[in-house]
Amino acid sequence: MSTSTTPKSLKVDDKIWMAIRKLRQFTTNELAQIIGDKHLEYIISYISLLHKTGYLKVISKNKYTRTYQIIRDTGPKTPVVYKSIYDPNNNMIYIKTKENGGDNENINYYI
Amino acid sequence: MKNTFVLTQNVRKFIDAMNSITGRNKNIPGMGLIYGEPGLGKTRTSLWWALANNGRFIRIKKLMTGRWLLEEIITELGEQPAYKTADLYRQIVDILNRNPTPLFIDEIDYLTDRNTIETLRDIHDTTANPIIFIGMDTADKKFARYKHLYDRFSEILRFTELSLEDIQKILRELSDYEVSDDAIQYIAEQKPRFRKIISSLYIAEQIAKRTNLKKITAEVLKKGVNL
Repeated sequence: MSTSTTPKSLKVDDKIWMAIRKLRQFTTNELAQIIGDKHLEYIISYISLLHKTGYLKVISKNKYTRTYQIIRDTGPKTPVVYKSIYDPNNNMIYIKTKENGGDNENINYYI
Repeated sequence: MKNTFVLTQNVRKFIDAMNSITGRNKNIPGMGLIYGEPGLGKTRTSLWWALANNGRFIRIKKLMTGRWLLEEIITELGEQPAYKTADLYRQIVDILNRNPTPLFIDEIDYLTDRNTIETLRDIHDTTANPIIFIGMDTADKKFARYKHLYDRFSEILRFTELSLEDIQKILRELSDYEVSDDAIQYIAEQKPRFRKIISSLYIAEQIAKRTNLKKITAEVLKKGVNL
């Protein structure tokens, strides 16, 4: 049995990931209402990266807002941002793909 | 529209209930039941509170067994589930004793197996850790049948429809525009859910922006908002 001290207190990334998994469908403004408006810019950039790496899809959009849906819920551990995304749930690194506005072919890495 | 979390009457009652549960004397049971019809903000409110207070969510699935539930709780608490069921139980008790963490058990209506429901009570009795059930409008009647469990609910809160005061608060706190009394009255007459008010306000703000209005009135709402 593990003796690690969990759960740790939540950082902004953790809050965003937990909120996404709970709400399933959301806008960045809804996340900012729940997490805090001062984090809006960060929320937008983290959501953008999750979208570009294939965790989210846009289910509706207009001139002012997009509604996202989570399509890759790998588990409770928060995917770590480092240019690409490291996901501790399945030890995968997901990179931005051309399909989603990134520079790479649709190749993901298992480490 | 502003990104503010509005403290409606339901939210204020929820905060009071959670303060009672988390701040209670440990001899008093610390389970809670939050219930009500969909769209009244149970999920948003409990998520907002959980993010600020290090709570965790477990969503019940229709096919969930006791073992599956225990594994899910451990995973959500950030650890790798043990192999044997007895170890799973001990593992949860160990984690929660080390790090008390309010657990929100969502979609509780799907939980029908008596043993699984009683297991949650056992976890609470062994650890005194706050456990809050979130369910639909008939959840209180359902759990009243489980007397040993129902007695542990030190807080039972039913989310009710938004009052006129709530609607006024939501519109005035979130809107970038002034909102007239007749607009508030018009929305209140439709008895809308929270989500519907937000989408209506959003459309009304777009109309106001396009037509250079300074105020959202009932007339603006009637133009573009199909409540």
